[in-house]
Amino acid sequence: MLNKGRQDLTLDSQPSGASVTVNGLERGTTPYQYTYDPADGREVRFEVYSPGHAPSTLELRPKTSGGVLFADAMLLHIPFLADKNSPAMYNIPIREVTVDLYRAFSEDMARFALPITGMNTTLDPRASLGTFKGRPIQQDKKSVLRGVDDMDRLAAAVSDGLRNTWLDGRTARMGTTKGDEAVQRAKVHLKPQLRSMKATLVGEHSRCYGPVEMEIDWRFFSALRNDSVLMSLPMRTTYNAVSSRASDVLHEALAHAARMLAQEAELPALMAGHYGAGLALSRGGEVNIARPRPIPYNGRKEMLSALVKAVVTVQADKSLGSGFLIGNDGHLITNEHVVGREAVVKVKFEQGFTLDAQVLKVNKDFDLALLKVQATELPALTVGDDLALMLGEELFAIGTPLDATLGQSVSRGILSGRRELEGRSYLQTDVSINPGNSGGPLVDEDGRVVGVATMKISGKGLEGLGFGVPISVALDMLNIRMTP
Amino acid sequence: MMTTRLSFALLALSFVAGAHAQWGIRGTVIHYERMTPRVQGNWLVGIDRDVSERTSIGLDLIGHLNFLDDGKSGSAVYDGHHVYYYVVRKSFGLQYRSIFFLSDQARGAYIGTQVGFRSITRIFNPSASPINSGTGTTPAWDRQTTVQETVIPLSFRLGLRGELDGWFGDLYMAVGTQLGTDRTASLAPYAEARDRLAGFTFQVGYAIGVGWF
Repeated sequence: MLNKGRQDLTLDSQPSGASVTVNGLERGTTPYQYTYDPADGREVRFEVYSPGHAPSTLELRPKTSGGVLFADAMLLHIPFLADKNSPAMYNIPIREVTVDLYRAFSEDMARFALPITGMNTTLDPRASLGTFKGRPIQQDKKSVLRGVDDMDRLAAAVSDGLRNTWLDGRTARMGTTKGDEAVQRAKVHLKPQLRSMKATLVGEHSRCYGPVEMEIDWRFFSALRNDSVLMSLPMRTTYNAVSSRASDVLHEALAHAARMLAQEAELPALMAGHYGAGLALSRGGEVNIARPRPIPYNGRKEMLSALVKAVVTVQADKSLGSGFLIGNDGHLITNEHVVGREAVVKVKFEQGFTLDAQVLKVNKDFDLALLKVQATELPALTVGDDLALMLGEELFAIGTPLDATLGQSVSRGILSGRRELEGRSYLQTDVSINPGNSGGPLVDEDGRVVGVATMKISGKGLEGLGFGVPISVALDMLNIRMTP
Repeated sequence: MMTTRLSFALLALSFVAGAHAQWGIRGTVIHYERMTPRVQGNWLVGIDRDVSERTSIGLDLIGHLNFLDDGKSGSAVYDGHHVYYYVVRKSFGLQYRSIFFLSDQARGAYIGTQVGFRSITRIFNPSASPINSGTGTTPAWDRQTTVQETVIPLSFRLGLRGELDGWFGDLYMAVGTQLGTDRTASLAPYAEARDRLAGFTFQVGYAIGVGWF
């Protein structure tokens, strides 16, 4: 026997006391003393799990020493045949391993979108990033930690670390339509700064081990106030690389740091506060509208033919939708996606005339817009109480589906449910909502507006899945106060 | 023959026992080998198996490229005669390789050992004429003679090989000796040294192959 290697390993976890399985068989709890047995195979798979934490796995590949393998090869592999089942043939490359057990997040925890708009570093490009097999790790293309200057790659690692947490962290490129929209919706975006890094790695390029310490300033920016820093959370983390490819260590260490960020106890409340403040900011200034006089009609038979007078067709340069008057002085509500970026749109009334309407404000988060036409004594809908609506209660949609010639079409359905989609409240209804109905009113059986028809989910085999923004939310998100 | 059987048993065991499940097959592009001092071209097909992150074994079948070699001529003065002869060579054999890579991941430069057997056949066609005319009898050795030997080459091998994952190449050379008797001196005593079995052998070649997990 040429080898007298180490075959023992102490496996611990943070927190300790977790159960350990080896190749699927339960063996004990951490700290767990493991002795390699060749019957466990050339790759030993450990799983560490603890209630309230996500399980963590690691694979260990015991190695035969180079000297033994050399002797084997030069002696035609005859020693290998004799010794391959002896534990002494193998070395476990590390004596102690501590795995980090990440806290499991509850399903009902509020989730927040968090676009990652980049990353930067204050590392000195000439500074060493630690040691690998006792030699300094330089920041060059041949380094085991290469890519520390590739900000897109670093941001992607952060995004990976936030996967399956309450933070939906996805990379977003500012200056692109999609990226800007994601940031706008989230109200907050993340641009971390890597301040220091020190790795102490041993092993081979294909399997290396050791701690990687990082200091990251997690900087959260406002999407609404010229990218001002909302908060900055400096954190120091230590990632224990276990049997990692050297080229993956940087990614894994950053993902670990991001995961530790998501576990920060105070962060959910801080995020909720900043998100709420962002939403409030997008409501804009308060608009006072005098409560309109009810539209007169005799009985339910005449109700809808009277109400359609307060519903308009909105024609923007490239789109067509619906809207409705909520004030006798010409204030109208419609969807943001109907008016787009235009400042003035055409509004066609049921009575046959068309007026220019000024876009006073939009709220992209809730797809709402407030318009104003220069007119007085216009018929307007009475605002109802959407919170008092009962499931199954009758609803009517009035709008202009498909084409202006179908203006003020009425369809009927019921309230199918109340839904939360991407953190926003919606009324679900089976009323026919077609392209062009967007921005039109959802009216209850008493003739009061209770919602703004906004979207429908369509697809093969899908029917009757329409959604509207509750009128109370619409008024709140456009910061409209109805005055007596 | 006992040694040959032992070698086969060892090879079979090695291929079954390997734990690093990576295989390859190879074919030669060129393979020159010095069995006699006249170097000859050969074909080679083989299999490879990596048994650890640093070691690999292989088995090759090697044969003489007969169609490129229709014989060599030689001349000598022997037993009072000028002898001109023509020799046709044939050979085949098996070789077991065991190599150690200098870097991790079973690729790159390597050193190793190899062992096998070769069946080497040489057919001599002599033509003798007396140096002094008039001494008229034809010598007993002046007739076609086949010399067939089985030898065991042992060599050190050096090379550069790619990873057994998809296409790979192997550029190699080996130096060593071959164990066995050489009856050329008794059966074709006129033969020049370059047509007798070499004590010092070498190989040089390049093979390509395809590997898989």
